[in-house]
Amino acid sequence: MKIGDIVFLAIIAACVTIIGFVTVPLVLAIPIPGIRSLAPAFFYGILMAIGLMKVRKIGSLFLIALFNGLVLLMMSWVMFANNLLAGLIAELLVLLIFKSYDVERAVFIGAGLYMPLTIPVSLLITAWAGGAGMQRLITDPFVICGVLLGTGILSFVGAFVGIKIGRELKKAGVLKVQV
Amino acid sequence: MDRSILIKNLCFRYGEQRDWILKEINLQIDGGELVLISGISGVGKSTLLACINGIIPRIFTGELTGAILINGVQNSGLSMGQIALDIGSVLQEPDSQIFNLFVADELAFGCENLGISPTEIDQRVKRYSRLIELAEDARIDQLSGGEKARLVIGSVLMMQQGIYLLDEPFANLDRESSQKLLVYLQELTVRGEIVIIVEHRLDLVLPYITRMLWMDAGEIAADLNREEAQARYRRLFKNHEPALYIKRSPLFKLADFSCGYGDKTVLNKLTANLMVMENLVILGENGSGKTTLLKALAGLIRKFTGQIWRSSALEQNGVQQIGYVYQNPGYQLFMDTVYNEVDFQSNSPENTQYFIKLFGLESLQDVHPHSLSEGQKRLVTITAMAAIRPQVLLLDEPSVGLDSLSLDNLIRALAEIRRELETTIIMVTHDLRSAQCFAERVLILKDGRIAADGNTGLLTEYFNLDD
Amino acid sequence: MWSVDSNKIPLHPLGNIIYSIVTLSWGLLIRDVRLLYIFIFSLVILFSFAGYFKAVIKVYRIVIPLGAVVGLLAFLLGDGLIGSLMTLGRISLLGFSSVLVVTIDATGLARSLTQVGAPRWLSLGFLITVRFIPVLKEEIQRIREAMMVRGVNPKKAGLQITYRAFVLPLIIRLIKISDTLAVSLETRGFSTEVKGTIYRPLHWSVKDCFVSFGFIICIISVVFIQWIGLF
Repeated sequence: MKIGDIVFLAIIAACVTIIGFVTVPLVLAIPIPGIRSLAPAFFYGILMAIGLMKVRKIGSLFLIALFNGLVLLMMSWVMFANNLLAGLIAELLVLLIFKSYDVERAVFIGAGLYMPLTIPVSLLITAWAGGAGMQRLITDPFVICGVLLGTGILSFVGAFVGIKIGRELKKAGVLKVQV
Repeated sequence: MDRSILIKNLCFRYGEQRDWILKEINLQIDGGELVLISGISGVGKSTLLACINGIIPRIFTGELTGAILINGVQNSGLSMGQIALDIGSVLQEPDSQIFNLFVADELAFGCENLGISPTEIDQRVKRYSRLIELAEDARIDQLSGGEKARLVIGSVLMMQQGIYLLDEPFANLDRESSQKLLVYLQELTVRGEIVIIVEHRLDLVLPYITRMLWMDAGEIAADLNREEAQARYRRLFKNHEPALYIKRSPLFKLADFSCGYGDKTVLNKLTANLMVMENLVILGENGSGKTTLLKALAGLIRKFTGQIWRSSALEQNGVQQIGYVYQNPGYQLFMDTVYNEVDFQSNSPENTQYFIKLFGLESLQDVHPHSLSEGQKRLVTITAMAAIRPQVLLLDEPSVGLDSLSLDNLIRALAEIRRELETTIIMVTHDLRSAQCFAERVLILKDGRIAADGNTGLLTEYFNLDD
Repeated sequence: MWSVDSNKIPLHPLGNIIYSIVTLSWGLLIRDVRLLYIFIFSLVILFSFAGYFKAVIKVYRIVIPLGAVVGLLAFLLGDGLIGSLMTLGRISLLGFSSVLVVTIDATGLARSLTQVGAPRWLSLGFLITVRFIPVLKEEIQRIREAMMVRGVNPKKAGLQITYRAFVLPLIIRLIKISDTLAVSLETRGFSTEVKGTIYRPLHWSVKDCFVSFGFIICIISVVFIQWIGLF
């Protein structure tokens, strides 16, 4: 990776973090597991897609997740681990299926998958901290499927919008792709 | 060590462009010189600096011919890291160049990269933080724009490379800080180092330089010593007659108006009446409150003390009749073509076409606004704002990035809007050309207050045009 | 986060991360509610002596009401009083593990990462992310003002135009800022290959030694108490 790539991904991570800071407090009091992933999913999808549209290199998604995670590490290492794992799994899946970010489908899948993947760890933590009653609640398939589906839809719609904007800016000569 | 920059037959153009930005530049600069590169926007000043410090073609690519020798060594075979051993560069937009959280860490960054020992870095941090008048442990997010600019300059000077390229370093500094820095740069050249500055505030820099290069259309049109440069400056800008200043009815009335950001007061008990149909130019040092005044007039300042009265003509059917064009046009452009951008708030396609023609944008109608040059983007934003036929048009530095021809077109178009639509135009500018062509009334702000209010005679005083 | 006042001689950032991870992992194993509360209380005492009292108060101001709500929910879901108290305790433990990391200073963390051999671009990227959060907040504010000036709002312009008016200028600014910063870093001699020196390296202090000793005692005590079956 070039310095410019790392800088761009770090700035995307800063923007992602801001979106998290703005949206998560709005839903913090709602006791639905995974809601903190659902709230910012649309904007995360857009920003992840823009990051991957510009820096089409393996490792880009993981770096955004890592930089974002390092900021969250200063609040809770659980959030750090959560982000890092989600970034890693999403990146590995893209690597397995597409081998690179050369095609826009890879960008779409990577950017769209990241947010839903942050849910399982948060469910585990909620289950542990919340006791038996909470475990019963969150193992209810309606809750899990609802939250995952909602987050997935928002995240993939965001990724689609991000790719559309990326294409437009690329055509305008503003977004110079780094491969 | 004898320092030198030798440029032979340098030409450059960006890959996708037809026109050469730099054309056959031949230049030798030796140790001990403090060189000012000047000229109107878009003539290639920053591009020339980017070629010398290696940004072109290493980061921004394009077609480059000719040779550049730094201290006798051709720079084409060197990496950015190797060039950074000899050349320090201060870029525009200080806030985008700082990534540390504390002053000392930002100052130390370049020296860490050069492999300088922590003890030596510590000594330099102490020395240079005093030079830039900032506390070592100050948090960067609490610094003002001017302080951040000083920090960026300090972080480069601290690397002590001996050749320094500064691109509009004083854009965020007040006159006093700028003069202190110029004195220091002058001392560096006395020690045999080289300083090259790109700056549009000639009145500020000219007393300190040894040489001025006047660029025009990618070429060095004149190579002058200090006395010649000062004489040229006075000649350039002295041929104007103060326009008549006619009293009209008020459009805005401000009484003891104060506002600021956080703890900082920007406008301080400002009192003024701004009149209908007057061409008003607002001048002042950076940080004097010019942009904040425009924001206040546009209704964007919600927290203030004192009073602001707006004429009822400024609101029709609940819609504000104020057009405000930002200094950075990028914030205000979001459509996919220039036509759609102008059409967004226009009341009819005929109206859109009229304004596109008036501002000379016919050939750019189908182009994406963000693919244009900064000057063209600014023109599109002004056109889009004019197309809503506002009662008042607020323009923040409208001439930046415009060449002479585009500026003439802009001034002509604004004159027509004023005549045809009776629009009041209020302009903030640092540019004497636009101020001279446009002003009827001049306000000079200082420390958030009005320091002077009068006709164009004030331009002579403000731009130091007297002998 | 970094806005929480840290004490004058902060503990080593990597130490804090380890304490935080071990605290929560250890807490996972505690099955007895009394032992859990004793564990939390001991850690609060230890780290309050180490200068983290203010941070504990600040974090617990949020954690206690949150734990109470979730505990109440657990009670309503049929966990009983002990189950609810356990929930409150575990959320308190989550909160405590946060106390240890909210006080970490970003510069210290970046520097210590480099010191332990992490590549410099990693700490650079992390610092850029932290530093540009307030910068981008201002950018977002400016874009929102620009939207007002151009009369863009969902009611009048529709959702599609509104998101364009927000997202497009924002992305343009992200690109512009990152271009400028990348050029600035390279002209100041930064490269992914150059190792460079470290200004003000961090060291393991006497205070770190005392705190880590106290922390290990707490951990061993929990194991011992569980082992002898005191509770």
